[in-house]
Order: sequence, then C-alpha cells, then structure tokens
Amino acid sequence: MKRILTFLRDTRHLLVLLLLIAAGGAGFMHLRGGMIPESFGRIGPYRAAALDEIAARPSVIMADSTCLKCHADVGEERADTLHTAVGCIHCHGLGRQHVAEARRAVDSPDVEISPAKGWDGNFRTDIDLYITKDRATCLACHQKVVGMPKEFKKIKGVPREFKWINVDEHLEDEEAEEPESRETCFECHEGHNTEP
Amino acid sequence: MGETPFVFPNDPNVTWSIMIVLYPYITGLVSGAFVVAALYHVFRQEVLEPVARLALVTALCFCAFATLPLLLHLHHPERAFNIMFTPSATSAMSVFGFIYNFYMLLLVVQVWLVFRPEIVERANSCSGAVGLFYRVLALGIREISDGARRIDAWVIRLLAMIGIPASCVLSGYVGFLFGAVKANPWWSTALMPVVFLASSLASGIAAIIVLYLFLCWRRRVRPDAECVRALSRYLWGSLIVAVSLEMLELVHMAYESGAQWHVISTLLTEHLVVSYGIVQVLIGSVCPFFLLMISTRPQLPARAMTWLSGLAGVLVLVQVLAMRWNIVVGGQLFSKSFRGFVEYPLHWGGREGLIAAAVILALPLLALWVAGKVLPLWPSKEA
Repeated sequence: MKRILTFLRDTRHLLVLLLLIAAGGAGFMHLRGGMIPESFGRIGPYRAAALDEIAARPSVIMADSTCLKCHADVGEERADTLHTAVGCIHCHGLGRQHVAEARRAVDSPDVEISPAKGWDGNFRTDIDLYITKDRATCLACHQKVVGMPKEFKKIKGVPREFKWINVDEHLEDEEAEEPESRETCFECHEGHNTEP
Repeated sequence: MGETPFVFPNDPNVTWSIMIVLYPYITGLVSGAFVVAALYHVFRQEVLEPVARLALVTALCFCAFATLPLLLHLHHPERAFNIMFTPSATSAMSVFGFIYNFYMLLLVVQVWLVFRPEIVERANSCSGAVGLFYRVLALGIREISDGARRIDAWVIRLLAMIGIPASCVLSGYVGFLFGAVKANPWWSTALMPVVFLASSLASGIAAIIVLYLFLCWRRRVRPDAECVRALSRYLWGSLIVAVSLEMLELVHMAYESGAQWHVISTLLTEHLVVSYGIVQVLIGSVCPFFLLMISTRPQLPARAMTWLSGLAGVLVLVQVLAMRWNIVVGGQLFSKSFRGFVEYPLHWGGREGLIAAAVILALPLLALWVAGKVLPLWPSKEA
C-alpha cells in the first residue's frame, strides 16, 4: 500500500499533465463538433451543398454552341475538319461582352454588338473578342513538343528552343512568300478549315 | 514573338513561394535538432551533454513556428484548421496536421520534464509574478522526490525513443508531399522523402553547432571542444549521406534520360546555375565536406576546430536552404508541358516577401532567446 502511495505521489505531476492533455483533446473534439458543416461527408469528404452552390453560379466560359447560334457558317466550315475540337474561345477570347450584347440584341435590335478587335499578341489578353491571324496562335498547338501524338500535325523545332522561331524549315519547304510575317501561316492554311 | 505562350492548362506562375521553401527548412531544423537531443537521452552520448538542452529547446522553438510560413502562404489561413476538423484519410496534407501536433505535444512534454527540477526549484524560491509563472509552469506541484526524478528520466528517455521515428516521419513526410506530385518530374521520385530526411538531420546538427558556438561566444564561455568535435563528426556523416542521395537522384535522372530530362537539364544549367551549381553544390556541399574532414581530425587544435566547424555549420545551413529552394521553386520554374520556363519574381515586401521570410526565420531565434531567460539551457556545472 505504501509503495502504491509513493508511486502515486511520484507520478502525480504526470497525472495532472495527462488530465490537461485529455482536457485539451476534449475541448478540440467539442470545437470540432461545432465546426463541421452540416452537409459535410454526405456523399464524400466535402460539403455536399457546395455542388448546388457552384452549379448555381453563372457560367464564365462560352461553349461553342453559344457562338454557333449566330455564326452557323463557321460551324459548317469546320464541321468535317480536325479543328472542330478547338473551342472558339481558344483563338477568339472569351467573348462575354460580345455574347451578352448579342443576347440583348435578340429582343432589342437597336443594341449595338461590339465587333471583334485585332489580337494584341498576349495570350492572357483582356480583349473580350478578337480575331487572330498570328502564327503564334497556330504554333501554340502545332509546335512540336515532347509527348505530342504521332498523328498530330506539328512543326519541327529544336527542343531546347522554346521560342517561335523554329518554323524556318517548314516555311522554306513550302516557299512562303513572307516568312517573316506574323500572318505567314495563312498564306496556305485557313483557320477554321484545316485543309490542306 | 519572344513571349512563351501557355495555351494549354499550364503553370504561368510560381504559386508555391519562398514560404513553402521555409516550411520544409524549418521542419528539417526541428528534426535534426531533436535527433541531437535524442543522441544524448537515448543513446547516452554523454559528450553531447553541453548541447542536449539547447537542442531540445531549439527543436521546440522552431517547431512552434514551423506552420507559420504555411499560414502566411494561405489566403485564408483560418481554413488551415479544416484539415484537423474534417480530415481526409487519403490526404497527405491532412495527415500532416496530426503528425505535427503529435510531435509538438511530445516536444512540449519532453521539454517540461527535462526542465521540471529547475521549474520546481524556481517555483519555490521566486516570489511575486515570477514565482506565480513558475508555479503555473510546475502545474502546481512544488516538490520533486528522488522517485519522481527516476520516473521522469525514464519517461524522458521513452519520449525521446518515440520522438526519433516521429521526427523522421515529420521531415520525411515533407519530402513525401513533393515526391508524390507525379506531374512534376523534378519532384516525383521515391527518394525525395529520404533526401529530405537526410538533409534535415544535417541542417539540424549544423544549426546546433552554430547556435552553441554563438551562444558560447555571447556568454564568454569556452565551447566544449569534444562536444563540437562529436557534432562535427555527426554533421560530416549526415552531410555525406544527404549530398550522396541528392546526387544519386540527379545522376539517376540524367542516366535514365527520360522525356523530362531535356527540361530538367536546361533548368539546372540555365535557371538554377547559381542556386544549385554554385550555392548548393559548390559552397554548401563541397566546401563543408573538406572543412569538416579537417575539423574532425583529433590532432587539430580546439580553437581551429571550432572555427572550422562553425563555418562548415553555416555553409551546411545555406546548402539545405538552397536545396529546399531548388526543389520547391525550381520545380515550378518549368512548364509541365516541358515547353517553357517561367520566372519567380522575389519581392522584398508583402506577405510572402523576403522581409517576411527573414522575420519568420528570426522568430524561432527570438523564442529561443526568451526560452533562455525562462529556462536554464546549460548544464548546472557549466552555468
């Protein structure tokens, strides 16, 4: 009995410490109970209600179907070409303002729809809608890089050079009239129709 | 025409900033410092007695601030607690919350037990606010019997034994986080946790050498030469292991010459020439290797040995910081489509700037200074 009492006396600081740790743990669990959102974990390790909240937000990316409602001719032009897979926004910008104006114009024909501008050469441009006939746009997809599928049409370049200067060979082979021009690709190619 | 465009979903910005560099760096210092203390408590390396307390308190001070860079990096720091409230068993980041808290608790308890005799003694001898502070710190128990001392010594040893694997998990886990990012070839390697672990040990030991020598100089006390020599030996060994693993990983990548090698070789030879080639390899690895090789020679005079060890310690600290930088920032400098590089503009100001980084690195040292005022960091015979 004396040994037990001595042991308890010698370890009472540890018991106090354990009690403090246990109290901290209990406090955390109590706090946790109040912090977990109501719909958390219902269908996975996240808040289920977030799905509906996100779905209710307005869309910021224009689908091709939105553009083709008015520009059906472009849809026909590229219908049987590989560029069907390329979204309108990839080469023309988000066009949010343009589409909003077009929608308003359906009910009010007086509404003026802003025309497309020229591309400023910046891939993160703020221009709402633009037309680009710049080889930088073409090479964004067609410059050869590691991992490209074999059948993908690509322009050969030196792998270590990551700039848009490696098309010389191709332009020479095809006898481009203005190889230095930004619009040189369009001497032979169309944008919407991939032929030849 | 000169701009490298990123039309594919890509990485135009370096999102993991210098704060994410500091986080594994500080975590590594914690682990390494703890191991120094454990060498004394578990493996009975009596020669390390002069630094055992310092190492333990240093580990605690750095551990207390290890998550601060992460919180500064987050735009919503309050959400950090969500990983604790709603943990996901499949998320490595979530598991970190538990590993970190477990380790922090272990450190606090161990430090408390190690310093309990002095805390109790001051609780009894001091009066007023200071006495109250020590009485609270003593948890109200103002006597310490021989039996309690024996039990405390046993618990300290047990905690140190548990702490060794825990600290390995803590620093190895940070490497795991990077190694598990399979989209990034500069990170995605199974060696990454081991590389982080080895360099953590090196940085922690180096930090203890530098801190010990600096504090001895401040206290106008001659450093214990045998202790510094032993620490230098441990540092030399851990540096060799860490650098060998780092080089092994690189050589393996180069020999394999996978699809990603062209971008990694360009990264190293053009974008990380200074921070990798010069700072990490030349200044941080090669120089301290030779310095430590000389300083561990028994016939070297004590004064020269401490100078060389201190210098090597500083260089190893720089090496590990550069290694963290090259991994974290370097891994984000190239596009994941391997077709271009981005730049990381490092600013002075701002929440993730250089000044904030310097403050974060200074805070644990400030905490150590405060701890030195509250707790006796040096063995009683030396104090």
